[in-house]
Amino acid sequence: MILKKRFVWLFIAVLSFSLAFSGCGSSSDTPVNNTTDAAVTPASGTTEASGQPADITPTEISVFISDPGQQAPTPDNAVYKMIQEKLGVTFQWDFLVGDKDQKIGVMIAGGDYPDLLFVDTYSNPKFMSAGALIPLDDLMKNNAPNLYAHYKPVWNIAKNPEDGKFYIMANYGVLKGTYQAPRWEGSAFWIQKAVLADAGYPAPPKTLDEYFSLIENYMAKNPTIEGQPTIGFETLCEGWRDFCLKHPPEHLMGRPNDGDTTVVNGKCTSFWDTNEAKVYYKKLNEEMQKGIIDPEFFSLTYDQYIAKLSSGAVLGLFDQHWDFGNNAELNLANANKDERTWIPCELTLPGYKPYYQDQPVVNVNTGFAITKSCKDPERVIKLFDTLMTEEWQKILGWGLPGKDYTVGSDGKFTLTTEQSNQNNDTAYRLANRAYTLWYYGPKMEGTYSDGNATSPGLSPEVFYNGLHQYDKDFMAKYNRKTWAEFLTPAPPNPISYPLWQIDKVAGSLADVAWSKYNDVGTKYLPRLILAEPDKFDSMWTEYVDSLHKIDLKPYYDRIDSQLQWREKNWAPNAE
Amino acid sequence: MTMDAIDLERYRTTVLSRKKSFWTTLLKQKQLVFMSVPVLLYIILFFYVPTLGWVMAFQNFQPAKGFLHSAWVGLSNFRVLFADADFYRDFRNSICMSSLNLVFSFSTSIVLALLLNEIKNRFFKRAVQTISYLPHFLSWVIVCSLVVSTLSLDGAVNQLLLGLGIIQKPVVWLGQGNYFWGILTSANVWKEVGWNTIIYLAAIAAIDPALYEAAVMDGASRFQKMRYITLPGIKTTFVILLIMSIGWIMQAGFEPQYLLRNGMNIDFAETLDLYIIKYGFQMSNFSLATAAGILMSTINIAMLLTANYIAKKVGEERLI
Repeated sequence: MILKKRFVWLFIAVLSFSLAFSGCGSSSDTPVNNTTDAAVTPASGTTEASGQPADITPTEISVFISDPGQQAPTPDNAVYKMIQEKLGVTFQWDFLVGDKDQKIGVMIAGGDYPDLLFVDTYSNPKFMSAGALIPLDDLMKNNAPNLYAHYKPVWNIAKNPEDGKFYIMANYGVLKGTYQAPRWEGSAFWIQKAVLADAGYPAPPKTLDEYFSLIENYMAKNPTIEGQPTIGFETLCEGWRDFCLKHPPEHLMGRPNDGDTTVVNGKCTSFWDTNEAKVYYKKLNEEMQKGIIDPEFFSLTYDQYIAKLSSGAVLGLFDQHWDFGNNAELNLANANKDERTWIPCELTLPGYKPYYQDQPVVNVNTGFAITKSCKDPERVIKLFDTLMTEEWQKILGWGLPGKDYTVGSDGKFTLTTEQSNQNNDTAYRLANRAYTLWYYGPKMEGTYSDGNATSPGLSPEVFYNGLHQYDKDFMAKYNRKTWAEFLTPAPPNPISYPLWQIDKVAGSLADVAWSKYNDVGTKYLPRLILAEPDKFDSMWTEYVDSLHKIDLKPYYDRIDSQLQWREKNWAPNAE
Repeated sequence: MTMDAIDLERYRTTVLSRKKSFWTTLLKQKQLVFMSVPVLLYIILFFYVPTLGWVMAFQNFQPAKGFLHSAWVGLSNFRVLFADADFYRDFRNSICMSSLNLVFSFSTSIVLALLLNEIKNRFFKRAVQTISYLPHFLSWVIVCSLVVSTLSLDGAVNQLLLGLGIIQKPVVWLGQGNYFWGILTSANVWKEVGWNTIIYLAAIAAIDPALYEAAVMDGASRFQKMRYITLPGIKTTFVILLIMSIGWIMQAGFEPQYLLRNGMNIDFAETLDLYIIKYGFQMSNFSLATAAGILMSTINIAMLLTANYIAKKVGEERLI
C-alpha cells in the first residue's frame, strides 16, 4: 500500500515536471488546425440554440480551481483540442498549490482574479465580501439560452439569498430526465451480504427486530470471520461523524436525512427525546447485553472504525455510504471479498413508511463564477452555453464515441472493459477527457433526450457490467440490477429540504444552544447503550431531563426562519 | 555656606555622578544592549502586543467589524462563564490533572535521576537514559494511539491483567471517567520522565566530588550520600523548576485530552484549553474564549507569585 502510494507520488512528480516543461513551449508549438479523429463529428460551434453564428476567434480563459491535488490536462488533450478548434477557446488552468486561505487572501488583496473561479461554500463568503464576482442574471438571460434553461428550475435555490442575484453556476444537483444513481450514497442501516446469503436470501429486513435477529443468527454460527472476532453491529461517535450514532431515530420515524433535527408540520423539531429514539437506543442496549455491538464503539476514531469495517468482520452498521464506501468497502471489493460488503436496509418502526433515499439537492454556492477581472464575460457565458447543449455534454460526460465509449445498435452507451478501466485512469483522463471542466462546470445529471445516462457513473448498464460476479449473482437472487433498487425510490424533495444545509451562523446563540444540546447526546448516548438493562429507564429520564434543560429556542428560531424563507423563495419558478 | 547649602551640593554631586555612571555603563555595554534589542522586540511583539486582544473579552467581537466597531458588553461574557456548569467542570479537570502531573512528573524524574546517578556502568547508564527520554520526541498523536491500543479490550493491559487473574473480564479503560486522570498522568510520566531527568542529572554533575569523597572518609553509606549530598545539591534546581511549573498550573494540556476523550469520559477529560478551543474556534465565539483565557492567565500569574513568595519566605531560591 505504502509502496503503491510512493509510486503514485513519483508519478505525479514526474508528470508535473514534464507538464511544466512541455507547458513552456506548447503555446507556440501547437498548430491550431490539427487533424482530429475522423470519428469525431457530432459537435460544432455553430449550432448554438440562439441560431447566431458563434464567435470562434481564439481566446484564452484563465481558471482557478481551489482544490489541491489536481493536475492540468496534457497539451494535446483530445477534447480540449476540439473545444479549441470548434469554439476557439483554450483554458489556462491554475490549480491550488499550498495553502488555500493564503492563495485566496493574496488574490483578494491584489484584486487580481482569473476570468473564472471555482467557488465553494467555504470560499464563497470571502469572494462575495471582496466583491470579486459579477452577477450573471442578465448576462445569462441575454446570451445563454441553454444555460438559462438549465438553471431556471433551480434559479431561486441557486441565487444568493442576501441580494437575490445569481453568481455561481452550481456544478451538481441540477437534474434532467430521470435521475437514478446505481448506488445509494446516503444514510441506511447496512447488512453484510454474507448474512443474507447464509439465511437463504430472505427479503432485506424492514424492522429493527428482523435486522438484529438475522445478525444474531449469523453471529452464533460464525463467532469469528477469518480469525477476527465477529462484530454484529458497529457505530461511530467521533467528531462530526457522530451522525452514525445520533441520526438513526429520524430515519426510523420515516424521515429523510434532515440532519441533527427534522421537520414536523413545517417546524424544526428535535427527535432526540422522542419515544422512537428511546425504542432504538433500548434495542441497542439489549443487543449490547447480547454481545452483538462492539463494546468499544464510543472510543473509536474514524481510522479505527474504517479498519474494523475493512476487516470484513462487521455484519451491520448505520452510516452514510460515502463515509465508508471509498475506503472500507473498496478495500474489501479489491480483495475479492464482495460477500463481506454491505447492502442498504431501510428499517422503520411500526407505523412509519421508509424514506431513506432522497433526490439530489442543488449544490448551492459551489461551482464556477465569473470575476470582475474577466474582460469578456459574454464570451465566457456563451462558451458555457454551448457546452450545455447535449452534444457537448456527451463529449464532456462520456468522451468521444468509439474511443471512450461504445454506442450499441440500440443507441445505448456502454463501456468495454478497456474503456471502463480508462474511465477510471487519471493519466488517461488527463490526455483524453475534459474531466476537470466537466467535474467543476455546470452539467446535466440524469438522462439525455435519447434516454442515455448523462455520464458513465449514472448509467445502470455501465454500473452493472462493472460489477464483480458475486454481486451480479447476489442481485440476481433479488431480481435487481442496482444497489439503489434495494431502497424505496426517492419521492420529490419537500421544498425547504434539506434542513442540514442551513447555516446556524457560527458563534450565534443558535449555534451555542445546539452545541450544548449535542454535547448532552455525546455524553449520554454511549452510556445508555452500555448501561445495565435495569438502569436504562432511569438513565433515559435523566438524559431527556438534561436535554430539556437546554433552551433550544434560538436554534429553532433560526432554523424555522430559514425554512420559511426557503418555502417562500425556493418554490419552483417563484421568481 | 550653611548646612543646607552643603547638603544640597552633596546631593547634586551624588545624583549627577550616579546619573553619569549609569550612562557610562550603558555606553560601555553598548554591544550587550544592542544584542538584547531583538529579544526585547520579540517579547514586546509576541507577548505584550497580543494582550491588546483582551479587549475582545469585553466586547461582542465580530471579526468583520474588528476591535473598533464591535459592541461593548462589559462583563457579560464573564457572567456567562460563571453561570456555565461546564466551565467549573473543566476548571476542576484542569487543576486536578495539572497537579497530578506536577506531583508525579517531579517525583519520578528525581527518583530516576538519583538512580541513574548511582549506576557505575557507563554504557548501561547511557542506554537507560536514552531509552527513557526518547518518547519525549514522539508527538501526542502517536503516544495517544499507543495508549488507545494498549488499553483496548484486547490490548496489552487487559491481556496482562486477565492472564494474571486480577480481572475476570476485560475493562473498558477509556470508557470510565474515573480512570481518565490516572491514564493521562501515566502517559505523561512515560513520555516525559527521561527528558525531565536530564536537568537533574546536570545539577548532580555540578556537585563538587570533594563532598562525596569527604563523606566517604566519614563513613557515609550510599543512601546517606544521596540523602545528605545529592538531594540538597539539586534542591535549588528543583525549587526553580517547581515555581516555573506552578506558573503553568492552569494549562493542563490540550492534545492528550483532545485525543483520548470520548462521550463516556468527557466529564473528566475536558480541560479549559478544550473549552476555549470549542468556543473560540469551533463556534467563533472569540469573546467568550478570550474571557476564559484571561481567567486562566490571571490564575497562573497569581499562582506563580504565590509560589515565589512562599519560596522566599522559607529561604529558598526564587525566580523573581
